[in-house]
Amino acid sequence: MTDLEHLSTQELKAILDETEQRIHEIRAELDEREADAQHALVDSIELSPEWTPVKWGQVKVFFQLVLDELRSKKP
Amino acid sequence: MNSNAEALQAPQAVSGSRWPQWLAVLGLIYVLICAVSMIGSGFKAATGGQAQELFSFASNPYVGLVIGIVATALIQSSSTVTSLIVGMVAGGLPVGIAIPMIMGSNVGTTVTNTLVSLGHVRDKSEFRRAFSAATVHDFFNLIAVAIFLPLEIMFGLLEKVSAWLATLLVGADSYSMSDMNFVKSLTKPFVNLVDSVTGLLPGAMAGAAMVLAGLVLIFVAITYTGKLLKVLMVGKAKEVLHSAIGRGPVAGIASGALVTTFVQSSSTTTSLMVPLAGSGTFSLRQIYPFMLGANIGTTVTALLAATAVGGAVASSALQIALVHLMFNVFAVVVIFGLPFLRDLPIKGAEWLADIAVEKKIFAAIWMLGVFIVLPLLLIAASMVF
Repeated sequence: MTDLEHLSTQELKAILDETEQRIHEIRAELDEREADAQHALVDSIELSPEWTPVKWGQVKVFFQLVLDELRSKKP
Repeated sequence: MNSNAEALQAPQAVSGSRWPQWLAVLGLIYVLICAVSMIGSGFKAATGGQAQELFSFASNPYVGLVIGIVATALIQSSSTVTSLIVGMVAGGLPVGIAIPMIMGSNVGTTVTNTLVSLGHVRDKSEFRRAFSAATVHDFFNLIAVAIFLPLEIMFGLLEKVSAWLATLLVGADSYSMSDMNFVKSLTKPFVNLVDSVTGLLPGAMAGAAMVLAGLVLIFVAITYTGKLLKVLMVGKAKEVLHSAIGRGPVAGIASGALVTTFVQSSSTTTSLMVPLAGSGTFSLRQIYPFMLGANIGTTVTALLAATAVGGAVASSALQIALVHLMFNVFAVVVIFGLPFLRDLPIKGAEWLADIAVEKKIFAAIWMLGVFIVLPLLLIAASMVF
């Protein structure tokens, strides 16, 4: 980047335009990849009549971990 | 993307065999409407037209709020609680007493997705994302109550606006409508049949039995409608979600409202979003509008329940259902619409998730605090002041 001072104003503007264009393309590519991942995740949603949001076994594990955390703090 | 396309097409491919399930949904909606009508009649009979005196303990708005929070958190279905409230208003419970209960049910319903987020506790990053996605809903609903409950106490904002709207829709004196109430004429045979059975009990017991039967039927109807709609509407719900991806917050709110209307349960839709956020594929900012939409979508059930009520109280029943809708719409307009309030739920949720990840006890304190300790403190404060 030290040779920037040797470049003409026109050349610097051209580099800047190209870089901005590249950043725009990278952002678009990242957005597209994020959207693809989100579409795939939405497709993976499965709902059956038996589906229930709360898994009480996992809630029990959480409170067990809380108790373990509290016990480990005691001297 | 082949598997994606297949997943979306699968429900359509067998749509021909889904008529029995759709008929069952219609039957369950009929049961729901009948049950609300039963609660209205039973409540009126049980209280002897003295509902206001009987519920004088809930005339303190904080007590009403607590009733709404605790009842919804225990049943884990705001649709059931709001339908019950519509029935009670039809039975003579004053709208002013019922409004804080409706606000409370909004807060109580968030317990479900917060419980879901606890399942991600084993992975720190995943837990931070899932817990913040769940509690952003808690924070939003608590801020909504903090804004609108004082406004209600001071000015009766929701009561006045909903009364005006209900009058506009059904008329101030709906006696003139009673003969034309098509839904009421459909539900009358069912309600009369139950009434003839519960009527064998003496005095107020008959009304109480009618309320209890109505409550059980509401719970059964909403539970089984939800089960059926999960299967019938999953394809449509996915289509809506797909169409909202990458389209900004307004599309997020609209998709949350639509998907919740499709499956008739905000707990289902918000709980589905928590793992999506936990995986890191959806950011908290992308999930947040969807949660707000779910608040709006869930109000359809109370509006549906209000169609059960005819006669002089039809306007009041519709009014309380409209309160539920307007409270959630106003909350979105004010909190999400005003830039200085918009990020408050996100900041609160991120702050809480950061400390809960380091010390899980804070997540437990939040759960117990919001849904148990805070309600008890409100009751204690209301008794002192």
